[in-house]
Amino acid sequence: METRAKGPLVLCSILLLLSLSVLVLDAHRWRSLSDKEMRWFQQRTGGLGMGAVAAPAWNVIDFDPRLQPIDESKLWPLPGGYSYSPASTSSVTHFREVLKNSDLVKASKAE
Amino acid sequence: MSVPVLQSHWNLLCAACGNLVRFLPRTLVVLLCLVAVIFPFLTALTISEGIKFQSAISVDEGADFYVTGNAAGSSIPLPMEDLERFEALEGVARVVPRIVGRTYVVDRVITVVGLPVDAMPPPAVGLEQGEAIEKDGDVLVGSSISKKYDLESGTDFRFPIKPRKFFQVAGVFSSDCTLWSSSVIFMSTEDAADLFGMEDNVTDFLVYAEPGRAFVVDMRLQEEEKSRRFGPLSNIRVQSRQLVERYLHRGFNMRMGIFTAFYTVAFALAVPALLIVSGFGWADRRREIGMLKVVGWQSSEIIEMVAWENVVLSLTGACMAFLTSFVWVRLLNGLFIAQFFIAETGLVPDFTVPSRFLPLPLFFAFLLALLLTMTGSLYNTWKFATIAPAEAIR
Repeated sequence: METRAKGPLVLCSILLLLSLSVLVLDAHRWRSLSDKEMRWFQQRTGGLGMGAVAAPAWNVIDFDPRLQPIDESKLWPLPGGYSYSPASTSSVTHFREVLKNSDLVKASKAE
Repeated sequence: MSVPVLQSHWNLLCAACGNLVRFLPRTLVVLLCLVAVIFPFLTALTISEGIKFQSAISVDEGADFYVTGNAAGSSIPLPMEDLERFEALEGVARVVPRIVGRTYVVDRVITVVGLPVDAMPPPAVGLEQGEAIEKDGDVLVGSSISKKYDLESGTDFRFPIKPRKFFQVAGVFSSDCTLWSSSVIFMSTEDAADLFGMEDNVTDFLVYAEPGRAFVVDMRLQEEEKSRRFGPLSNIRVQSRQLVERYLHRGFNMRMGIFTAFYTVAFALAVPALLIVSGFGWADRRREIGMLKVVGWQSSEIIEMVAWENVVLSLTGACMAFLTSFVWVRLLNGLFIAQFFIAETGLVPDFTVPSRFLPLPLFFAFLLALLLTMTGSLYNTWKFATIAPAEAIR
């Protein structure tokens, strides 16, 4: 093998080994992760927070749809229009109102 | 390499690696492009997986049913007197009244949670400072608020909406208590009702069913929901655990879908960029391909050599993006970038940014990098390898 050909292969191998080690270590960390504090907090608050929002600054649904299942940020400034909430556009989660079966009324044709 | 069949492939791989060193500026530019495109994609996926884990705990440890008032399509408070009505329902183990609201501390939006004091019994494993609530006016504050406004255990403070009432910090939530605990202030139901001026009302009732009797409670609550016994203007809204689990699945999958679509566009835009980048130095490459043809290389061998270059580049780029993401999210706790994925975080997150590194995103990152580099170089290679050597050298 040419000497200069070794460089990219060695670099690639080292990076691949490092990445695989990170994956293994992270998997091991998750197995041994203590979620005691998280469970304690959620038990005490009755379940608080679901989305990628630290505080309900713009709307509540992206913070926790259990508290307010409708997206208030769509009600203004243009009712029914695009949501200007950064919580709706920049985060990695997004909640939308879920209709229950009882909310669905089937329209029947007038005879 | 002793196996003759593999020997030629190994030789081509070595030649490809030699080319990567020889065209070093081009190699570095392509690698940087790949890292720039893949890094945010991987980071978003890992943070999303971390939040999904915490969100699942929130649903697991939450109530079986959430009952709120409902008027004209919006949630409204319910009177405290309805507590007994829900407690009397068949199959109900206990009902906890709760007040959840939002207000400001100085200039920051926070969540206020009011629950009966006995709902927060010791041991307080999730507190990094202080102890549980003992008297009126005691509150537990989130780690972000505590750090930002120096609200340590024993500190008195006031809310702008209730300036005459003093509250005292009894304890501070640990920064590992999920991301939602960072901007929360926990207090007794009475204090929360006083703060928001709600008198004898609560925002929701947490209904816990007896083991194995959730279905019965669901039926009884549905009957209550339809009965409209809560006055002419208001009804109740019941959200079961199953409904909340649907929120969880749809909330993450839908956004991931949007996010994936967004990045598909980003990748689509990256293709022409990489085409240009990959074309950097192609005059030399064209002459070299012509020379290789002159000395007897086959077109397929030249294409395979370039494909090997792309494999090494893609693998290196994907691993570099993955490791950068790991260092930035896990070791630097998402410094500066967490705010793009978690709203209301700030430049320096005061809580542990949730993240989970899984093999599948790394594999997809490699495939996408390969797709980009192949798109950027294989056509050119094929074009130069199939023309007459004299034309290629010229």
